[in-house]
Amino acid sequence: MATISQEHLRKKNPGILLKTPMLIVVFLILFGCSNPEMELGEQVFKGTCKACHAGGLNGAPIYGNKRMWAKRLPQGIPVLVEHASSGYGLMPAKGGNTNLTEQEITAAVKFMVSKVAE
Amino acid sequence: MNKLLKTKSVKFGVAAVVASSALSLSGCGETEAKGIAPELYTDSLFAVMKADRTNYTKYVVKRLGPNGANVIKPDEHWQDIENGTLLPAQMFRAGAEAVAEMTDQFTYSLQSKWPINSQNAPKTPVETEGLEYIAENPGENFYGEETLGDTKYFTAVYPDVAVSSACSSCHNDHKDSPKTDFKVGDVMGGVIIRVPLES
Ligand code: HEC
Ligand code: HEC
Repeated sequence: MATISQEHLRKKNPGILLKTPMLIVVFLILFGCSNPEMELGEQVFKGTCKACHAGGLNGAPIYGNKRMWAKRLPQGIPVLVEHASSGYGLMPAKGGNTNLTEQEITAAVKFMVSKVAE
Repeated sequence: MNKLLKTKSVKFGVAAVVASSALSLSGCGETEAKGIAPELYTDSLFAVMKADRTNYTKYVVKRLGPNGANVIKPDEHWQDIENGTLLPAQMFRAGAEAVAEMTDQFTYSLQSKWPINSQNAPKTPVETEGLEYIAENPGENFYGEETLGDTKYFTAVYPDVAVSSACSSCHNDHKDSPKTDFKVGDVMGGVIIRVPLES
């Protein structure tokens, strides 16, 4: 069956074209942005971690790269957080941003992990 | 300073790939042969450079240097020291120079808006734009095009970050460094890879 053209929809239900974007917005508010920890994590990631974890500098596991995270994930979140906080191998403690709190590091680690754990 | 002259003579790299794909396309209508996208080409080159630099830092400088077995001494003036060895940035530059002797397919360099060695300052508007972009957008790469002489180039700029306090403190303390407040995590400069798009 062919997809319904917008023209057809407009005739049948003139309001639907307006309502659909509204529904999407409501959906995003309800589900997309409903996790404050992920939001904080993304913020910390962009502010501090991304400098190394986007390009894989010094072997930093690249954001979203399942292959690079595979060996590290089984350690579990608490160990990853501890490594990110205190430093680990070539990873500097807190990515060099010593002002970051335990809560912020945890959020950033969870944010990075969420992109490979799906 | 003949860096610019050197880059001007670069030819045929991606141009050859694109030209050959154009030939096969206009040829006999056979299956479409695609040239490699310049971005994928420079990203791949950069992946190799990055891996080599990390491994030099990790397996040579860290393992055998003062923080490890202490049998070698990484130092800017390594030639004057019996067990002296190149700093990672110098090793990187040595690679770029060796490549320039071997081929004119592409050039690469480690540059900065705040260079210790003034030869490592940006020389073209696109290099400057790229270095500014990566400094303002940590973790992002920059891709641009520029025409030098009568050749069009694809120019990619990848961030080089202070991955340890060794990076920031050595640069901050260096007498020739125009910037003295680098900290870990800062973008200190960038790797610039330039390939010709057409001859
Ligand atoms: C200056 C570069 C740099 C910055 C900034 C940075 N990292 Fe890293 N990170 C690394 C490197 C390099 C590794 C790989 C360490 C190794 O295995 O030697 C790493 C590894 C990790 C790991 C895996 C550790 C393990 O046990 O395998 C986690 C988790 C991590 N980083 C979290 C973070 C977080 C969170 C931030 C931001 C707050 C951050 N990193 C910022 C360089 C960096
Ligand atoms: C012991 C001192 C020292 C350390 C440690 C060091 N550098 Fe350098 N760096 C230099 C010197 C000296 C140069 C100039 C080399 C040359 O003549 O091209 C340089 C060059 C550079 C350049 C090119 C622009 C310029 O300043 O001339 C960048 C970018 C750079 N280093 C980044 C880094 C990063 C990132 C690290 C850590 C991974 C680091 N450096 C570690 C001394 C150091």
